[in-house]
Amino acid sequence: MKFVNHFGGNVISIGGEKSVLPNGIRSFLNELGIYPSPKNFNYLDHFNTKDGSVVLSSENNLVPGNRLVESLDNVKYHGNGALISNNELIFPIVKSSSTGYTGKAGEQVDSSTAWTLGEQGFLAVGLQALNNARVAWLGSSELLQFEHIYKWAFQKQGVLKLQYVEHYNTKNETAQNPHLYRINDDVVYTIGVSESVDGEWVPYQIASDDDQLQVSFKLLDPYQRLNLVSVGPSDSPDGPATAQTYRVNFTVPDHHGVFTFELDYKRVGLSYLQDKRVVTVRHLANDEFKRSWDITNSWLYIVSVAIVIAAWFLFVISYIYVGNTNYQKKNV
Amino acid sequence: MGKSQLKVLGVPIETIRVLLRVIIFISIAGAAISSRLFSVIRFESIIHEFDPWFNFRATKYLVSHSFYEFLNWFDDRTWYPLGRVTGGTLYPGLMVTSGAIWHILRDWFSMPVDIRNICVMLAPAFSGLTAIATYFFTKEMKDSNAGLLAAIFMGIAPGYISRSVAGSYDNEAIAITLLMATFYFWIKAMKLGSVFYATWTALFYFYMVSAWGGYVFITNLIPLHVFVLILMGRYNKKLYTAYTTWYALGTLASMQIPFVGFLPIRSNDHMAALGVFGLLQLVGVGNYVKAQVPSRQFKSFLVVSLTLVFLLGIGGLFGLTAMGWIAPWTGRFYSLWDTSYAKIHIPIIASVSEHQPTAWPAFFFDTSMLIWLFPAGIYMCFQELRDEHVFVIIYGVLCSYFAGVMVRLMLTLTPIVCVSAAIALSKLFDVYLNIVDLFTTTEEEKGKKPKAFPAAALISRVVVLLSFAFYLFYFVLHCTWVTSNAYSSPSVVLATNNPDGSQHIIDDYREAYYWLRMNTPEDAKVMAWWDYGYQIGGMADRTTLVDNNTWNNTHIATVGKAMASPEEVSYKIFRQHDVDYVLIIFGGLLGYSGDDINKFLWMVRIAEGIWPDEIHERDYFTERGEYKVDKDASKAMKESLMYKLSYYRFAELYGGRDGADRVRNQQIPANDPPQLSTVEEVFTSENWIVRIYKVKDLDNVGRDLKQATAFEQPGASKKNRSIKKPKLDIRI
Repeated sequence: MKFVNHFGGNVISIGGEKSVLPNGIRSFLNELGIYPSPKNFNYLDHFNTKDGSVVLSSENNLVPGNRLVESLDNVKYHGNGALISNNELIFPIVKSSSTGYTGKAGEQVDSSTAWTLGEQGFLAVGLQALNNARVAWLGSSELLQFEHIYKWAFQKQGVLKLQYVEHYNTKNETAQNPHLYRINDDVVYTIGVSESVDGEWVPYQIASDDDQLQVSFKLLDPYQRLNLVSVGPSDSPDGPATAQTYRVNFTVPDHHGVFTFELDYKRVGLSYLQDKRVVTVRHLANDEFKRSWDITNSWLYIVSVAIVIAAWFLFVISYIYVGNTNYQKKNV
Repeated sequence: MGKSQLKVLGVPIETIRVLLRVIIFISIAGAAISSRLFSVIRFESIIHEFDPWFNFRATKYLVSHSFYEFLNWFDDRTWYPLGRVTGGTLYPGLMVTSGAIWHILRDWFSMPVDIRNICVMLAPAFSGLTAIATYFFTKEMKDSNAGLLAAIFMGIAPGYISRSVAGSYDNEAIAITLLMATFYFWIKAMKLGSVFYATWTALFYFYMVSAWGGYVFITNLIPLHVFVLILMGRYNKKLYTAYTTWYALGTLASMQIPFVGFLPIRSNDHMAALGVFGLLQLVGVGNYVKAQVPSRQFKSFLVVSLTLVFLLGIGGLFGLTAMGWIAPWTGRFYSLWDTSYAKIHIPIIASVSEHQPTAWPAFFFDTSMLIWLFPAGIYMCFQELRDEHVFVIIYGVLCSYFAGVMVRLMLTLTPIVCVSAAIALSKLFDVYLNIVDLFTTTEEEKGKKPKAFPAAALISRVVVLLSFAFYLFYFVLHCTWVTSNAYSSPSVVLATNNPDGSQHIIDDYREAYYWLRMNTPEDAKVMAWWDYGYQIGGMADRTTLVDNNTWNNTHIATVGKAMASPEEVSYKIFRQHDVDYVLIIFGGLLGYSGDDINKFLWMVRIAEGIWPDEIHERDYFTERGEYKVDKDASKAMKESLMYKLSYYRFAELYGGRDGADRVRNQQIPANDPPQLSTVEEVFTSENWIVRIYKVKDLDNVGRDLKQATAFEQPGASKKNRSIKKPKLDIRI
């Protein structure tokens, strides 16, 4: 457990028809939410059996979008099945067909004796912990013919690296990653992502539209959630042109507060990319509002103020001088 | 040229009077300042309580940044993640005052005084000025003898000291000074009809607006005074000049404070001033018309125009309020009239102890003998009833009511109590101290046989004088005693006495805040109940979720909900708000009653106000409706985060026996200790007053934290040989 939690170690565990899982490993797997069937339980599927062995097929057994196994046709399978919990970090690779079950050979099948029934059973399962430690459980060594599975489990495949995260104000491009923005500023958010291929860092290109990298600009709730646009390779600490640059421009919402740029990229079979940058969005300062004469609506008031002042001035003059002359005339 | 040529030892008596007066002033200021220094001498030069910590922090910001940066300050370290537009939501008068003093001392006198010491000593210094302002105010009412008495009363009355001891760096510290100065200038302006004095009134009014939200009191009292005078038929041009000058200048000036902004023309609280301003114009026109037309026509003119104006005014007020142009009355205002209003509608206002109605002994406690001289003084004012006496009467009556409704308004009552008590007392002294009367003979008596020695009259006077001398002496004793015992505790440092009588300082707060400052990352977010927000910000310098500036009820209710809910619910709130640490105050070990469990019901109530479906106050009581934390505690209570945080590992202190909560005198069962899975204890102060917990991160492999914690427990990894099929929900 510690191995995974603290050291980010990788574990691959393989079951088999006759094999017995050591208790430590079993309780470890259970703790993760993977419950392999016990000794003497085998995965059976009488509808897809050929020559005494279960034959898997892409149609029935492959979990779509798992990135590790592309085709399963005509794979013979002798091994266990497993139940898995609703742990979000677990992703199934090979599942049981709707007619398959895991039970003791020769016993009657019902819900109390069978370990797995139908599509709730799984034959190969991967788990990637939040620190990107990887665990794979395979029901049978026959699945090892898919090199992607063990490559993945030993961090040889699907390893991504967030090379850099930058954001800046379009008005002041030289100041990278400022702590302070103002409402309605225009922001550019850029990241660089590399993928490890055969030990070399190369730019990572998203495979399809479903895999968009997204950034949210959030204060409790996301005010913006935007797809990042790929703009080409860039340099990174690992060498020139090793990272793919993704970028998005957006306007800071008209709301002050402490916002977070949150990148959260969790895709099956790839390392998690997570990043949080907290910035402050301030309100307009006292001298950043429009001046009164720039607002056309205010002209009316400005003019009326001017008229009142002028009228008052005229009134005072007339009161003092006009009145005075009359007074003097009377006296004279 | 009779009296002015009287000389004592060759010095004109007027000079001696001035000299004496100056000496008396200096002694009064000295008494006022020194009686406020108990806390500095007993503890140290430290900022007190809660709000002063914010003012202190803001002042530090002001002196380390420019004034404009202060004005536009957006504070991202409070109200996380909302932040606070601090520069636009505070009354800057206090900070600017101490900032100015700091700059003057440093730049002009080359005295590099620590800003903290200026903040600590500001309130006592201003209390000396208050005494002087009170002198001038009372002098306008009667004479300088009464003024001197009022000044010394004001200097040491506990009702005012309560908010102005050294370290009590709050808005009220300078506001009372400004209040008295504004009133003095108003009386002066009104008496003389002077634009000059009215402008000074407006200036001080502006200063007052910049310093304290209680300026609304002036905004309503002066119009009321004018209104009453008009009703009494005492309208004159002086009144017109004084009021219009003050209103026009004062309102324009007050609108320059960002926090006030357009309130003077939009909020109902300010409508009285505007209305009286309009009324004065009408009365002015009316008077003019009256002088021009015969009285019969004037009467009909009066009736018609009055009715019209009245209807228009009321209609306009209602109409504009309904349309939302004028802000409706605020909740604090309603609670002034209906004391149970706040408890029903706005629990957050009711939860503040200083908003509770006053208990009657508090009046004696805070003003001692002045409280019974106060009605006598008011009576004296009725006897003479000059225009300025009307002011004292209105002020006295209004404030007696307000002080009865809210404890904190005792503060505004104290000055007028001092003034009218001084009027009464000096009147008494005028009569009884005048022994010369007894021995002089009038013209008619001349030639008759010489009077007998007036023994009876003399004795009666001496008795009265002696008894009042005793009362005054006792008053000083009382004030000193109250100040020293009740109002000089900084409340961040507590003091108790050891069995042997020596003093024992309990410094848990600062211990904990210092721990936070030194052991947590600088951007750590600390969640605590809002009472401690300012202190965490000021002393620990960490980001807080809520603080004493209670402007966002929902955010406070969120914290209340997190405290009142089971751990799993709270954890979601923690994650959403990026909370790193949770801080609670627990007094159960020490018997410190102001702790969070005692405030807990307010958290529940405030949370219930926002989430009536999830939080129910009733659930936190036992079947029989008791508030219990022992083995009878209700399920909701035992599951609430606050309960768990407070009593986590508490019984362990008692070695397996039940823990004794000394605040609530209840037994905490040892056999059912609270289990925590989403947070872990990181710090508990010496006397357990402050407990700090760290919020755990999400589990690395995706388990829920309860399961993860159970797994880490030492005894948990029991070998389970028989492998059973797990009960799992269907995977979606």
